[in-house]
Amino acid sequence: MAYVGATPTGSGIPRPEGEFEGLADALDFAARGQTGYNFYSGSGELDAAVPYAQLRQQAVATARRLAHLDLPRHSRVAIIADTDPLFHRFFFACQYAGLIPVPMPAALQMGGGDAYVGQIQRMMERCGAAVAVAPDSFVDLLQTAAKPLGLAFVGGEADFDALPQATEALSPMRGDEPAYLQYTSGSTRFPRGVEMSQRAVLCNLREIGEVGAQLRDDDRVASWLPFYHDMGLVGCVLVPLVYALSVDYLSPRTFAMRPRLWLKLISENRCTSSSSPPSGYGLCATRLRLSDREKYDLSSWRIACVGAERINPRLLERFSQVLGPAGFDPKAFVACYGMAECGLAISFAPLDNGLDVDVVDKESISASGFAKPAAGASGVLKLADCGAVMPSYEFRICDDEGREVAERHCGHIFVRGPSVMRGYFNDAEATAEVLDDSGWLDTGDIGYRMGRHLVVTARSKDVIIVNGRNIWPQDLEQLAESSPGVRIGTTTAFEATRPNGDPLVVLVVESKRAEPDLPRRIESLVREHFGVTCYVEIAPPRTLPRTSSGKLSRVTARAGFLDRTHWDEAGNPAPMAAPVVESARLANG
Amino acid sequence: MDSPLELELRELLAGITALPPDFTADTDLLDALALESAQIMEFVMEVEDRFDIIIDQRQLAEVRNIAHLAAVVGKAVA
Repeated sequence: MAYVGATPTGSGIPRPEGEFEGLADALDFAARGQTGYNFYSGSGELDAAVPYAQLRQQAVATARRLAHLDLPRHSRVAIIADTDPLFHRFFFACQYAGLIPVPMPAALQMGGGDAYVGQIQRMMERCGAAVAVAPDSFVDLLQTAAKPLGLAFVGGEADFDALPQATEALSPMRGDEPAYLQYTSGSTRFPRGVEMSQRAVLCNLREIGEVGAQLRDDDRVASWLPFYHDMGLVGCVLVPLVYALSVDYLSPRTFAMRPRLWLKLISENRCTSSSSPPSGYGLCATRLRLSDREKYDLSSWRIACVGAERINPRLLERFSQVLGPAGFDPKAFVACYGMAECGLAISFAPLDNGLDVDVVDKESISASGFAKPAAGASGVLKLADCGAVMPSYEFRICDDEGREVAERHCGHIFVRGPSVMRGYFNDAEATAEVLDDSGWLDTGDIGYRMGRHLVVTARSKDVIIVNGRNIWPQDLEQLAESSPGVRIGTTTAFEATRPNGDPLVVLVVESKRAEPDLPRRIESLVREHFGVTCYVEIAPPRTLPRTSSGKLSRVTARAGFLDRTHWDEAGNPAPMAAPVVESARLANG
Repeated sequence: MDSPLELELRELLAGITALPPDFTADTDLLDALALESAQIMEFVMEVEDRFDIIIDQRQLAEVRNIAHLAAVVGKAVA
């Protein structure tokens, strides 16, 4: 039987008339049914089932205890967002108590205790947290981090539950009041706290549910995404809430270690919606034993959103090939584009359609930024169509001077609409960098439009500019990965600066066998395809820096490269031995 | 010097990355071996599967070498 012990699929409760004014209203609604959130362990067993009705009771009782602390309205409550029912309990308690929840990272690396304490301490300081809570296993680290900050309460559930409950009526947050702070990652600078209002996030939730995913009462969500990222929090906690859907959770760590458990959960619980960055699908395809796939029936999976980074169509093709025999339908892939600054989603590709790839002329797009449809099969770039910008947004694509460019011309993507954030919390400077007075948000991404459809080509900061040509690192990486002996997701490209200030395009390639001619082969491929000379460095497998979600970090890779590289008199790299096995020589300076 | 448990862990680690000749139970896995997170995940999974235990990430935060890890595993299987 499906979902043994977990909350059922289908709430059976009718959609309410009108809109919710706050997330607490949405929980009041969902609490009338039987559905809820389910937490699965590292071995895939059900650890806890929390129906919305039970969560509401817990959240209200918790809110009364928070109220007893007598904090100013909109004080911040830091919650270590491990995949644990404690997160939901406190997140929603804040909604009822008029306090702002701040999900905090829960990714601990081996030997990384001190670094983690520093990280959450800076975040709590930045947001001026008044309260900080954590699951038991994190309490000691949290206490160490919070010690110098003088919070009103720091601890775990047991200590918190010893607080008395206030008796006065609760006044949940509604309308233009805040909903949460979401710290964004991916920046080399200190992460910034996106402040979303209730109205803004509810607008995005409705649009995702109605226009994007077109959710039905019999949908069921599976997720391994962390609650401290937008896809995990907005996509897999809040969207299901508004539609009173049941959700089955695995922790990100469980997924990273045993990706097959994600497939098992979807298969056994007949989940219909589950999303991942492209790298998650890639990890599954790479790590799955083919003999295991007969155990799975993925035919219930109708919405497999793909977002969060530029989509490499080959990763998804690989996933479809490996899991097609297990009932996965490639038409389930839905490319999405969005960011925490808009809640979650900006554009959504059509459902039941699969990935649409725009094939463009490589020479044209890198020389002039014009995404000319390709005439032949060679000299092309394959770019994922991220679908139509959702109806509530206005958007425009602009050149460096802020002038709007024509269709199919690459530029900076700007959006404006009711689900755009109010700003970065307590950071007017960072806010002013991305949000102008008339409400236009600079997404920081580069892309082009085809009607209302968006194609996102790169994060702006990643663009490599050589001799006036724009080259996206993803393109160099995909090219290198087409070489025999190089696997997908094992290369990283970036621009480094030589001692004399000139740019150097660097491609670090992980390879098991140090084939002496591999660097030269890749170098000549790049020259052939992009007309630039690049420096290829071979590194042992699994040595490129990856983020906690398994994504290659170009920024860290660049820093590591600069750190270990010595330069010869001609300004070319003369790297040290470790960790480099073999390196190419530049043909010329 | 190494205990049987440490030797077994070392053997599992050797399946994931090449160990230098002077590797001991006290060698720092992060600094000396430059293990990065995907390798660590794989190693921990192998260890969990071999000993049929779950090592939570909180415990792992204190682990910097094979001796530390052997202490965690030893406690879990005891």
